[in-house]
Amino acid sequence: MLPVESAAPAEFREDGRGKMRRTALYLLLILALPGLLIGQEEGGQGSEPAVIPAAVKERLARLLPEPAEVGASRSGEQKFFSADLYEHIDGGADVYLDYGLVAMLHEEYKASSTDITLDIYDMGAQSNAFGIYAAESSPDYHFLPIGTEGYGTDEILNFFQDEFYVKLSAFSDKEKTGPVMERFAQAVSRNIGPSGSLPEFLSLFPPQKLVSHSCKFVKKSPLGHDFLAPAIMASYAWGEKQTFLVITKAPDPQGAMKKVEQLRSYFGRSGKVVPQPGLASGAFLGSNQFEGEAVFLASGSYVILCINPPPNLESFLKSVIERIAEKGASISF
Amino acid sequence: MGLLSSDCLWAALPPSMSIAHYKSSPTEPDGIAEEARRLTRQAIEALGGMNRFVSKGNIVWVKPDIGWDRRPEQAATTNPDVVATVVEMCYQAGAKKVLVSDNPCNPARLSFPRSGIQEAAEKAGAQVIFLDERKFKKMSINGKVLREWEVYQDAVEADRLINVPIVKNHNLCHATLGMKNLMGVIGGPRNRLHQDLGGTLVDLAAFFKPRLVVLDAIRVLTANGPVGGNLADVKRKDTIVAGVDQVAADAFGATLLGYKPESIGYIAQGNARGLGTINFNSLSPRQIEV
Repeated sequence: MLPVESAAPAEFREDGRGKMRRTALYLLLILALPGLLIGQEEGGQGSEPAVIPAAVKERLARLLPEPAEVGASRSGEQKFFSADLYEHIDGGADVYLDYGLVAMLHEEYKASSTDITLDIYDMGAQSNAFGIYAAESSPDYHFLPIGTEGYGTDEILNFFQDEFYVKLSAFSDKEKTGPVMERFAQAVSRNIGPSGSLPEFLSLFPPQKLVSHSCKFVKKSPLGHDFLAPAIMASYAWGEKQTFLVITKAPDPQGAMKKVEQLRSYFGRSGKVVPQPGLASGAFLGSNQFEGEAVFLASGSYVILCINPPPNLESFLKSVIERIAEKGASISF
Repeated sequence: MGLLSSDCLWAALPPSMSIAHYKSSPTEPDGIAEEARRLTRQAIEALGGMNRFVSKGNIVWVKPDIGWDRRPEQAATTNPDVVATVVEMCYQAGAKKVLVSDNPCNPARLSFPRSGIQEAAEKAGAQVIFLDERKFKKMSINGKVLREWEVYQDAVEADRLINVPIVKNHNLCHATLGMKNLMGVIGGPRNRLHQDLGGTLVDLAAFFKPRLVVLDAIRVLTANGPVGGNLADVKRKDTIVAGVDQVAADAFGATLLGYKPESIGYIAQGNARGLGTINFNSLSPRQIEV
């Protein structure tokens, strides 16, 4: 059996401190919104960097490790980005902005012969931080127990924790860079606080046959459909066969039925769609040249879309519906 | 003297595109450097040699992708030996001066040395330039999206522009190829350029019209571009493309990333606006196995 991601519901609950911090941040952002908007406008017109409220900058700066703590010295100019992130990562910025980037802090260090760059992205919410982290990761990466979850190679180490996505890169011609990046990562993680657990919405995925580290949170246009946003997705492996499970939530059951109707219409236009009353009430099987075969249905306020359905489709769907019934009411995304 | 038939004349013309592929896929740094140099040289020679593009006394601006603080192995920047070979061939063709630069996203003081391009190009005799903000001048682009924009003056004033991009994934436009690489000779706020990226890139391609494109696909970043960093995202394609048609070169590059060229907005737009052909096979590219 393939390794599965643990999904104990209790681990997903926020502590009170996290909620207070988030509430404080939202208040801060509401107060700072005019400034942020002005910053975006200025960035759009030309020459000035985006305006980032001082409190947001201070909050990010407090997460930096003390140079002595990590055996390094600062070696470059500290920079902040928000709507002007394009200046730092060009077209890569779009995805970060789609996930609600609040601000990013870039800092450079030198430790012996190693150059280190540290980028801390404040994504405003844990779901967003997980979303961008997962968007940039792949199940075949080397995962590490840093922050809530991370991965690394010889020259990069990325992790997410709370509403932060932290990216380190290091280069040296003389020494291994892994230990120094790990030192930095642990120091930043400590400054953020408790390592936390994966977002609660991931507990909707049945763990059996789930491909480890395949879960995603897609905020914009999942599978190219705006009406499915936001959605969570994961892969399941049945030997050689891979199934792709997409779950999205509407405000109420009528909204979920509407999304099912939109899917029915889409498959009708692009291929064919037939009801599957034997499988579940209101279930459909759609097929086209893009997705291949897909089964979809509503379950309360949720919509389940199963692409390339598994051999044991009925029991698989049953397990998804049961988890939604058990956990779905308290989950939002 | 007998008249040549049009078929004979056609056959006598050098091809406008070549695709050089290395049979083996060496893993040692020296082997990859040798691969890069041989593929680049043979791809350009298949087009008739660098003399076709560079004349005696020319000042040549060579534009690789040096935008990122990444090592060559991470495939976010152009292979340094490809750049060095282009520089050497320019001098062998009689160039007076070869300038190599980029307007990087990450600081040039990091990305230029880390990419290996600074050292390799300087060894080949190029001047590697850290761009001077004061030399960006607002110029008339006369494009559909860009009416005027800040352009690096020395790049425009050079006699020849040779575009030397790397093939890589791009989160926004799927693929970073030659036309996208031209963003490195302009200034101004990048976020405005991304509001209509496809139209912008075609405007830039029409404005700069590089004399030659040398597309590096030795290592290809297949995910998380343009920045990348994770070696798990890098795949070997062991290929160099050289060509005079920037749309065709990009169209072929897109296929290396698994995309249909028509699905990449700026390639389709470049084709529609007559900047080149999306149907690279119609150019009968010279295929070379090395």
